[in-house]
Amino acid sequence: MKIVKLLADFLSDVLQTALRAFPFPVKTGLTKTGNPDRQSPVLLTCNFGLTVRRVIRALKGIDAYLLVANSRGINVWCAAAGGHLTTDDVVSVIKTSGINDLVDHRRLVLPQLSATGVERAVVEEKTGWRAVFGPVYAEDIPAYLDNHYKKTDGMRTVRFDLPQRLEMAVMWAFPISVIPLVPLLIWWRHLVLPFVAVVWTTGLAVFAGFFWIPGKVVRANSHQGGPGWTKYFIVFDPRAQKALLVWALLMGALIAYGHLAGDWHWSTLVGWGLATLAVVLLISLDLAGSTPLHKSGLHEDRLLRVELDYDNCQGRAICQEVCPKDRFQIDRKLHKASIISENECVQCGACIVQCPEDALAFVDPSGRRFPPQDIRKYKLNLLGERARAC
Amino acid sequence: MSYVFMKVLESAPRRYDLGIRLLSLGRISRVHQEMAERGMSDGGRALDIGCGTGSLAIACARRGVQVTGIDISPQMLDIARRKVEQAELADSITLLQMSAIELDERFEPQSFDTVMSSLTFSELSDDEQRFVLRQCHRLLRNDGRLIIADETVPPSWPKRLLHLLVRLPLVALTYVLTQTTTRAVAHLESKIADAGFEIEWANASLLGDFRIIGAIKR
Repeated sequence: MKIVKLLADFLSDVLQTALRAFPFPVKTGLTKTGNPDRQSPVLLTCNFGLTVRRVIRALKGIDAYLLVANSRGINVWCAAAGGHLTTDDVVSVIKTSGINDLVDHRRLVLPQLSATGVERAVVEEKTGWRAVFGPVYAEDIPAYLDNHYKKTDGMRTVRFDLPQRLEMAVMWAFPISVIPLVPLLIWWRHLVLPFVAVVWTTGLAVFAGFFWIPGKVVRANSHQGGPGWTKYFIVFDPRAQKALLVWALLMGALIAYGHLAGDWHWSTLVGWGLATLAVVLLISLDLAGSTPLHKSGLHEDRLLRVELDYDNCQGRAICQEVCPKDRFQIDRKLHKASIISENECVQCGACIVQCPEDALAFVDPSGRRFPPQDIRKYKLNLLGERARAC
Repeated sequence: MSYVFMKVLESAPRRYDLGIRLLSLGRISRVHQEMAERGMSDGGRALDIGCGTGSLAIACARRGVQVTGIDISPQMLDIARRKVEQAELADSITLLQMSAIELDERFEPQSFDTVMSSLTFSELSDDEQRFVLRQCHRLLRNDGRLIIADETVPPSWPKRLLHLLVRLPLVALTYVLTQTTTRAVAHLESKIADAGFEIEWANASLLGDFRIIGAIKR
């Protein structure tokens, strides 16, 4: 039986890594690792299958309770930013899982990346639990617990190491190589292998070599010239237009050569044309924006900046605790925070949502201010915009 | 027809009523009428959990019932408030923005004669469903009635398969549009019974994928 479970877990991991842009909900509620008692730590995570299995693996050898909150099968960061993992979902799992009767303490460890959607103060007020934001990565949980619930600097920041970059490559390459398989299998069967190989090589090369590729190659432009909707179509992106121009010239050369050589069938040319076009489109996507390191290039027209109201700040350092890019510095003597550099900010808004003094806000280039109440209420939709009420 | 498209409608509350009517092929009004007719008496107090745009609450208030409607979405409640005003029922309907999980904090025991809920349980997790049902039991007076209408998992394998085939493409499309979905409720009757209710009657659709259940608190 154990082997069956291991195999099922492994296959689920593979599938959900390949299709990780899609939700995979698992059962919500209370799970245990080891043999927890009344003093054991209580942690919370989302109900994206891959995440739950990783957290359980990270907790190997630790007796703990794990609350799986309803994030609609989406990972913690995306769910919290998109309004799918909310304060209510956290309150709900505390109240309905029965955890209140199982432990004597009232300390709950939330994933740090949930801070952009889960209001700690409201959770505390509604449940009587003290909520703390734990590390970003599940693998740091054992060290965090050993360290008496104190995060070291490295535990607070989002990384983009090789394994994560390869995961991202798979996330892009798998669907892009699978979708055209149907027409390819019907009409250009001989191109299936070259096409799949080209897409995967490109995907892996772009992400494995991410830090050596100049930013402007992988970062989309917001093309302020065109109407608003054009930014979602990469053919309007000047950067993609250049790539398409190169592609067209190469295709022209290929057709000329095929014609001169005489024996190339038109289907070969069309097949290669489509396969290489897919690659051009792949590298022209908003790849940088899909990483945890960069803001999406699609929205440069309304890039937001975090503004600190120095007078209201009490230096309680909660912004520093939740910032996944480590952008805050705290002056412990003056009890004031300061923002180190805004260029690195990914606009997740966690600092704004959590600040107990409401001393932080987003400001757009035209000077319009988005107060904390709005950032708490309106979450990001798929297009990276904060949806407003009717 | 599957109610999973409800998720699309929720993302655009203004179109919710029209959309849900189309989705249910006009059935939803009949469902609300049936719910309002069953077990509602003049001057009674009713709680509507997940009242949305208020259609069910209004149907009940028209029968002389004092309705408290709760919903987690402020946008849906904005629409409900407008509809209640248009129907001139502001005196009989109270709308509260709160989660069903907060029911234990807001109301006194036995404050309602009827508790009802339409298309809400399919958005709750198993634990949440059980919690809310226990709360329904606490909030109802003795012999008070619970009426729930929702998407349910069909009882037999062939029906379940058929239901899945119909539902899967709809789920996929809804997901593309809203990145979220609903889940048909499994074992709804036994969950209701576990919370201390006695099932009085149940009306299931042909495929068993939608049902209205009436239960009584003994």
